[in-house]
Amino acid sequence: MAAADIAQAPPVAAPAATGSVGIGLHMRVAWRNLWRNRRRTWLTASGIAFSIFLCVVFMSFQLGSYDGMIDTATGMMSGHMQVQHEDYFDDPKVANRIVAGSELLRELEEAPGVVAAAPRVEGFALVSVGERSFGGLVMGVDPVREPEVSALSKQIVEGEYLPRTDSAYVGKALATNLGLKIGDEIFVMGSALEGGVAAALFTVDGLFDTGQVELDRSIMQVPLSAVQSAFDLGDSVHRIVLMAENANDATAIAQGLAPTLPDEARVLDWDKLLPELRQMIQMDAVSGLIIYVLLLAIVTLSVANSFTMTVFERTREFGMLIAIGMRPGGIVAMIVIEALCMWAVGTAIGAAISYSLMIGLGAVGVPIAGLEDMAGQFMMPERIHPEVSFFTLGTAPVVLLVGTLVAGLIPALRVRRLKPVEALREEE
Amino acid sequence: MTQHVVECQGVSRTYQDDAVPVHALRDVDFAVDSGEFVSLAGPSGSGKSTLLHVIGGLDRPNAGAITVDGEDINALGDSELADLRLNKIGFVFQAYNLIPVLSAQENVEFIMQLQGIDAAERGDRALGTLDSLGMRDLADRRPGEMSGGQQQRVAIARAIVTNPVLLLADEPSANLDTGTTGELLELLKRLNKERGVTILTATHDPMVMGYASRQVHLRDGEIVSE
Amino acid sequence: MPLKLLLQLSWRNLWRHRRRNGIMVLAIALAVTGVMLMNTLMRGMAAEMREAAIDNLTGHIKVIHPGYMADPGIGRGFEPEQGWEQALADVPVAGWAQRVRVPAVIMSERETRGVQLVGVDPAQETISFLGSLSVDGEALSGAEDRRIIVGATLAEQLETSVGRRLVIMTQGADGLNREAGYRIAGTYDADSNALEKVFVFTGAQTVARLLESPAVTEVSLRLESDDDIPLALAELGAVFEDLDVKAWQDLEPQVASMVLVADFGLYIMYFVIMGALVFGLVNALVTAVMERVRELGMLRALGMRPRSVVAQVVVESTLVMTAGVVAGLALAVVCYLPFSGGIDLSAFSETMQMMGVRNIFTPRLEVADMVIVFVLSLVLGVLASLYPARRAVKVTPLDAMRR
Repeated sequence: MAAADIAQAPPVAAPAATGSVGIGLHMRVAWRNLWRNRRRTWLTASGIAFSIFLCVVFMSFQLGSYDGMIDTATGMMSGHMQVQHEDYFDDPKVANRIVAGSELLRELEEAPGVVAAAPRVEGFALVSVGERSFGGLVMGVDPVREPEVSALSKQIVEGEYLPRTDSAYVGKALATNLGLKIGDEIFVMGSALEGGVAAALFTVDGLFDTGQVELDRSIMQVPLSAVQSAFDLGDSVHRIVLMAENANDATAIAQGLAPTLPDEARVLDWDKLLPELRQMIQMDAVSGLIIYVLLLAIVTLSVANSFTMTVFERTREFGMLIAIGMRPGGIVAMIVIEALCMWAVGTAIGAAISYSLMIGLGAVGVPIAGLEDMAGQFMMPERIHPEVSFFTLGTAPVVLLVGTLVAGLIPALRVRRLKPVEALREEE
Repeated sequence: MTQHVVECQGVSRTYQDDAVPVHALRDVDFAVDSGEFVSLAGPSGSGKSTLLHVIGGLDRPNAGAITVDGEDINALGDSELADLRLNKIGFVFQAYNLIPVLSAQENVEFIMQLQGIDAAERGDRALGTLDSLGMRDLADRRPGEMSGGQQQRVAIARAIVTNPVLLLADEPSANLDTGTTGELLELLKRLNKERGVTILTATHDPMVMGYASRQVHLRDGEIVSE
Repeated sequence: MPLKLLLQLSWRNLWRHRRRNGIMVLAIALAVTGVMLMNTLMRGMAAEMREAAIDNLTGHIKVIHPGYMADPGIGRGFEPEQGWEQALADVPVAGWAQRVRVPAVIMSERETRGVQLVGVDPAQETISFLGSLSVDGEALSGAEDRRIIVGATLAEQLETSVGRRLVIMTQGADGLNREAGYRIAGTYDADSNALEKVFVFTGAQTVARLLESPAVTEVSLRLESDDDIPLALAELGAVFEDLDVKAWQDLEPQVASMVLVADFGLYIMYFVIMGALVFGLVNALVTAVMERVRELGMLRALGMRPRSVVAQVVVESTLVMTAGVVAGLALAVVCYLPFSGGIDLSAFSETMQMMGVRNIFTPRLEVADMVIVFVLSLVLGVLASLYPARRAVKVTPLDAMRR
C-alpha cells in the first residue's frame, strides 16, 4: 500500500522530501550563483585561463623542442641506432670491428622497423698536404647509403659528395688550415689493423661547413672501400648506422634486433649513443615539471580562496536554505558544481587561445632567433615545432579540474557545520 | 546679524533614475543658526536626507548655493570637502557608524588622528568625552561587542569630540528600540543645551522631532512648513 | 593620514579575514620558495660552468693571436715582452700563465690519437685546473721538464702507462712536421673525461725546443674578480697591441649565455608564477574593498581624503605580499641550507660534464636575488592593489548611505 503510493507520486516529490534537488536545477542554480559576483568569477577564471595557457604553451614547446633536439642530434652523425663491436663504444680502436660487414648490413636493411642502414669504418690518421699535416678522424662511408642516415652530406658548400672511389669530403676549416682547394691531393697515414702503416691518397672533391669548428677541422669522409683496404680491414666495418621511422621507436627496434646479431656485435640506441642528450632532456623536463606544479598549485589556491570568500559571504543564505529544508550535502554539491563551472569557463578561454596558437605554430614551427650559439652547443634545431598531443594539451586542464574540485570542496564542507539560526543572524 | 552656521539658497538636486529625472530637492532656501537643534522631517523620498547630504558635502546640488560656517561648498574640491567634513562637521549615521576593527576609544580618537592631534591629547579628550557621556567602561570594546545604542552613543562621542560647528545626524534612531532612542535623544538634547552644539537631524521618527527646537517639514523636495 | 594609523587599520583589517589572507600568504610563500629554489639551482649551475670554463685553461682573460682560433698552431704564436705584467700594477691579478698550445698527434705502440699539446710552467699554473690536479705518478717539476703528463682516459686508450714512452708529432712554424718521444711522468684525473682525452702537458721549454721557436700561443690571466675585467682588458690591449685580448665571455660564448640565461631565468620564472598569483591577490583585495563599501563610505563622510583610502588598500596589499615573501624566502633558506654544501649529481654526470659542471653540484642562494625577489614583490603588491584601490575610491559616502 505504502509502496504503491510512492510509486504513483509525481517524480518531483521524492527529491523534495529528502531535501535535495535534481542535478539540472543544481546546474542552473550554480551557474547563476557563479555570475552573482562577476568580477570575482572573471578574475578567478582568468587565473585558470592564464595558467592553462602557460602550461599548454610551455609543455608544447618543451616537448616539441625535445623532438627537434633528438632529430637534429641523431641526424647529424649518430643515427637512431648503431650496430657495433661490443667494445667499440668504450674503446674505439681499429681492431674492435664487425668482421662480416656487408652480410650483416644486408640483414639489417631487411630487419623490421629499420628504414635505412649505412656502414662506416673509422680510423685516426695524419692528414698531409705537401709538407703540412694535421691529425684527424678519417671516416669511410658508403656514398649512396650515408646520406640516408646523416646530415653531413647536406652541409656541402663546394664541389660534390664523394663522386669517385678516391674522393675526399673535407671540412672547410680543415681545408683553410691546410690551404686545400677542390682538386688538391691529400695523403692519409695511420696505423692499420695488424700494426702496419695504413696509407692512401685522396682527391678533395667536396667541402662541408657544419658551423661547428671542432667538427669541421677534425673529420673527413672518404669512400668505405678505400679505408677498408688501406687499414687492412677487408669486409669489416666499425659501425652500421640505422634509422627508424621515428626516433622514439629506436629503443623497441633495438631490443628486437639484439638477438639476431652475431656474437661480437651489439646494438645501441641513441639513448646510449648520446647519453648526454637523454640526460639533458631529463634535467630540462624536471625543471619544467617544477614550474608546472607551482603554477597549478598556485591557481588551485586562488580558486580555493575565491570559494572561501564566496562561502563566507553567503553564510546567511546557506542558513536560510538549511532552514527551509535543504540538506547541507545539497549545498556542498551546489558549491562544487559552481567550482566546476568556474573551471569550465577558465579552461574554455585558456584552451581556446592556447590550442589555436599551438596548433597553428605546430604546423609552421618557430625559428629560434638569437640563440645560434646555444643551438650549436645544445644540439637545438633551427625551428621548434610545438608538440600538439593529448598530453601537452590535456594535462593542465585535467590537473586543474582535480585542483578546482578540491578547492571548491574544502570550503564547501564548512557548510555542514553551519547552524541555521546563527547563520541567519550573521550580518550580511 | 547673526552668522548662519548653514545657509542654503535656491538649492536643487535632480537624479537621473532610468532616464526619468527625479527631483529630490526643488529650489530650497534654508538656514540653521548657531545653537539650534533642527529636525528635518518628512516621509521617505521627501528630500530630507538629500538636504542633509548636500549640507554635509556628501552630495553636490545641481543648482543653488550652500555655505557651511561661511565656506561656499560649491567652491571646494573633493579633498577640500573632505577637510571641511573633518574639521567642521560631526556625523552620526543610522548604522555602520564605527570602524569595526577599532575599539570605542580608538574610534573616538580616529578623527583627531586624521587632524594630526598628538597622542596624549587625543587620549585625554577621547576618554574625557566617553566619560562625560557615561561610557568610560566601554572604551576598550570593539563595535561588535557593543549594543546598537552603545554604538550610536560612541558615534556621537566621536562626532562631538573635535567640537565641530555642526552635528549632522541621519536617522540616528533608525535601528534602535524606543527606550534606547529616548536615551540617545536625551544625550543630543543635553549636548545642545549644555555645550551649545548645533544639531541638524533628518528623521521620520516623531520621537526625534519632539526633542528638536525647530522642525522643518519637507515633501516632494520642497519645504512645506516650519 | 598618519602612517601609524594607516598601518594599524590595515593590519587589523587583514586579521578580520584570517583564512582568506592566510591562503594568499601561503600561495605567495609557495611561489617565492619555488622560484628561489629553482634560482639557486640555475645560479649554482651557471657558477660552476663559469668556474669550469675559467679553470679549463681559459682564465678571466686570454691574449692570443688574431688568427689562432681558426688555425691553432705555433705559426700563430707571439713573444710577450719581458715585464709586460707591470702594466697591470693597479689591477688585482690572482695569477697569469704563458703557454704554448698546439694540436698534435700522439702515438703509442698500438694507438694513435689527436690531442692538444700544452707547454707550461707548472709554477704559473696555480690559475688553472692543472694546479689542483691529482696526478698518478709524478707531476711536472718545471718549465724545463722533458716528460709529459697525460689524462688517465687517454693513457687507457693508448694502452700505455706511467714510465713508458709516447711519440708526439706536430707542426713547426714552417709547416713542417716535428716528432719526438717523451716519457710519461704521470697520468691525471680531471673532472671530465673530455679534458683527459684532449690535454697533454709538458714543460714550456720542451715544446719550444721541439718547435724550434721561443714563441707562446697564449697568455692567460686570472683576476681577483669579474669586475676588474674591463680595466684589465683596456690595459692589456695597450701592451699587446697587435693581438686579441679577450675576456672569458668572448672565449666561451655558450657558458656566458648560460650565465645570462640564469640571470634572466629569475625574472621569467618570477613573472610567470607571480602572474598566476596576481589574479588571486586582486580577487581577495577587491572582495575586501567591496565588503567594506559602507565602512569606506563612512570614512569618506568623516573626512578621510581619497588618497588615504587608496593608501589603505595599497598598504593592505603590500602587507600580504610582504608576509608571503618573507615566509617564502625564509622557507627557501631553510630548504637550501641542508644542500648548501653540495648535491651529488652523479646520475646526471654526462650532461654535467658536457656542460662543464662537476658531479658534486653546489646550489647557490644569492642574497642579491633574494633582494630582487623581495623588491619585485613589493612592486607587484602595489600594482595588484591599483585596481582594487580605484574601486575603493569610487565608493562615495552616498553609496554607504544607500546600502
